[in-house]
Amino acid sequence: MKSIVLKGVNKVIKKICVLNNVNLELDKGKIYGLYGKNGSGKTMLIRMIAGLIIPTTGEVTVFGKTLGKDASFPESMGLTIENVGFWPNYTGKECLRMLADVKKIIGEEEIDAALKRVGLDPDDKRKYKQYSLGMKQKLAIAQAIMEKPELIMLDEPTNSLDEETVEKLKDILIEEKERGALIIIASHEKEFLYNIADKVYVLSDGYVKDNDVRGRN
Amino acid sequence: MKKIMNCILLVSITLIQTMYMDLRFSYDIGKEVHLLLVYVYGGLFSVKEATSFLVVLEYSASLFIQLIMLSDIMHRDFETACVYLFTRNESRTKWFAGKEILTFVFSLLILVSQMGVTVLVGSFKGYHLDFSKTVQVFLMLLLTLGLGSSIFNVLAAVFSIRNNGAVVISTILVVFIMSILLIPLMGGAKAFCEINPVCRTFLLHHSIINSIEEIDPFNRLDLITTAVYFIGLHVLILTGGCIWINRKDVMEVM
Repeated sequence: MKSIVLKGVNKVIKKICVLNNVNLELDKGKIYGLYGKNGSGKTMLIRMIAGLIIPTTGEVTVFGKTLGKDASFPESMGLTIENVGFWPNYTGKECLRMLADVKKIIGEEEIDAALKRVGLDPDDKRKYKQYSLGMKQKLAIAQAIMEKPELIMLDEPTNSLDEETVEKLKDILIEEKERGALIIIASHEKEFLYNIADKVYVLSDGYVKDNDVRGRN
Repeated sequence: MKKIMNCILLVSITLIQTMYMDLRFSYDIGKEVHLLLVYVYGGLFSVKEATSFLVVLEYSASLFIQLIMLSDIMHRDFETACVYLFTRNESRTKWFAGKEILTFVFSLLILVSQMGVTVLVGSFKGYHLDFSKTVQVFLMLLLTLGLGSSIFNVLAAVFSIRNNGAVVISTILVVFIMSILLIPLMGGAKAFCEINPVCRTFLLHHSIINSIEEIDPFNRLDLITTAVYFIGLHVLILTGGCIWINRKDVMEVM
């Protein structure tokens, strides 16, 4: 059974079709890339699978549950979305702790470990608003992986990251994949995606171009 | 650190306000602690004295500060980490209701600490403490603050999702404050206040100010009626908020 199934998904916003008849089947333990230029529908597709937007027509099933019917959001998901930040007056660790407090499945140790994995110092006393863009991006990634979710979705994860951190991110993603997580990455950076993903779907004007499916296998 | 600063700020404002009210109204108050409390927190509507901007503002200052602080708790979550918070919760309604309850608990703690300061100042200045009346005043004020913070929270949540949060919250505050200042100035304002259960409580408080001897503000029936109205309105606002937050398309605009 496929972990994620999208059947005939369309999304129309203000009379513009942002996703057009998308049909996808994704497996656990693999990294999928979504490649396309700005406005091609990559972020929309990620938001759709995350349950943040509802399809105009079609169906999204994640781990056997249809979104909008059986569940609002995938049960075990780590997500980064562009332009979503954290509480400006708290340190990075405090922000993660507040989020971890919702599910209460991890403690201080796991939070510290997630911060270290992305190259942030758990003892850093600086507030989120004092973070650089790169640090903010790292914190978002730490937030997505800290609870060891079954589904990890990263929207433009390499934005603002230096080369060293991008390499570190690749290692993290491979480790998560080996753990059995299903990973979806949306990016306009071709090289990064084709390096890391098992399969890359190319999006253009809301269409997923099946004949452009590429990747490492 | 921010929380400690907020506490210091609240206590300082209460201290200054209590001293000021004592200085201004000590003749009317007649050295009763619970009446001093009414002066410090009681009013948003002052029918007889409403023509003075300063008078209405000085009655309302503590309440405004508390409302701003409390709505800020909800607003911050919506403006910043709403996506990461919502997607970790099984139900948005549960999250929203939990947040409301938490806010109400904060209201309670803030009010207790502020009233503690007022009672201490009152005792220090030789005021007489009537425990049961003080508790009744406390309950009325708590209901007022709880209702106010609910309205603010729901508005903060609704508007900060759809618009620029800071601008919208400032607008809500300005409209709220202006309505407090303008409603009593309008013709028939007194009648409006008397039939409106929310305003009635404030009128009750201000009746003390205007004619202490004539009206018994601690009538048990009045307290129960007011409590029922307040709790009913609170539940209505909370239910409305929960229905709104549970709309399927609410996340699409985030």
